Amino acid sequence: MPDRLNNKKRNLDRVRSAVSDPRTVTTASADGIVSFRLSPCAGGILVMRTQAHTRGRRLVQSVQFSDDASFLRWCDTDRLKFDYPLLYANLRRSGCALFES
Amino acid sequence: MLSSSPDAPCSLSDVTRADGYFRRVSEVVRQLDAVHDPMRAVELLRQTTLCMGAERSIFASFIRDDASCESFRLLLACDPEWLIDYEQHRWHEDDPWLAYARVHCEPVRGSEIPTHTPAQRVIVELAERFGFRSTVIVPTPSSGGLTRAGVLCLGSATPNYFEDDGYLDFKLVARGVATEFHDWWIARMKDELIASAHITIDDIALLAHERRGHSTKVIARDLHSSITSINSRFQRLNLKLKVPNRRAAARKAAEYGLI
Repeated sequence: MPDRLNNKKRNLDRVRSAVSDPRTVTTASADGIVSFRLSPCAGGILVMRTQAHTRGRRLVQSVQFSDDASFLRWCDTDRLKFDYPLLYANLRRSGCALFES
Repeated sequence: MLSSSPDAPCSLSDVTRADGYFRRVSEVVRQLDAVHDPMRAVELLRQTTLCMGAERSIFASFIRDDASCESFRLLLACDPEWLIDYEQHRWHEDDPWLAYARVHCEPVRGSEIPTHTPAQRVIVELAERFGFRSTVIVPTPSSGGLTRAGVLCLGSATPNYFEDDGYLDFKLVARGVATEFHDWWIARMKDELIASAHITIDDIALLAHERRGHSTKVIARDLHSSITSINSRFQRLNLKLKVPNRRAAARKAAEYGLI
């Protein structure tokens, strides 16, 4: 039984450590349709974009940007910015802040 | 959209015949063991891709929870604008490379996959615009009737780059790399499900019994419990996993690698 509990604890610790970077920024739409997680890395910033579609489809994209120009271009290409202008304004601001940090 | 990077190798065979090719790729991929965040895995995928001799790549993982719920998870070591265009047009429904990966296990060059419809040709042309002029598609299927599957798509902006003698060695390495990333994704999905649904070791034991087709009576005897207790535990598990019945619970547990 102690082994089982230790294994379980190890698993949960591992999951928690994956989201415990203090510099990580998370932003999401109020309806939960789209969310972003941003984190700095050696080569720029890492972004995880999660989109919940109607009919139960879910798409999770993880991508690295090496400069703010390519990140901003990517933000501008996304048509969801028209549905969630405040979210995308926040996303652009958060991303640029991470590049500057 | 993209051209060959200035330091792109002359040929694939130059890369694969260089001393320590297999070792270098292996050393990068081995670092996956210490990575638990998909965003960090993207960095490793990019490094691995370059080490292998390709320029860009995508690793896509697919899983269907039930008839109404499916998810795609993508690691993008390429221009992400491609995926925005791809997603807005719902190209995944017509993608010839994805269709190949759903029913085959053999790595193949994109040039060997025929395009039959105008939509398929548009999808391949779109990929070419984003630097996938020469490609290798590496499926990672699952056994046991599970829906979860993955595919690694490796690309180069140089036309016919993967058509030379280095392809056989490249294919060997690509298959191993794709399997490692697929296994990594399954482990992450398992972690996520355990954390989000608060699954315990005892829950997993119960689900394993159901997956093996054991009756409530047999499960109760094996776990030294009562039939009523087992039924109650299954009801709680169904709620935790957001599924309608215990059979669906066991199938979801199998899809996410819990059992």
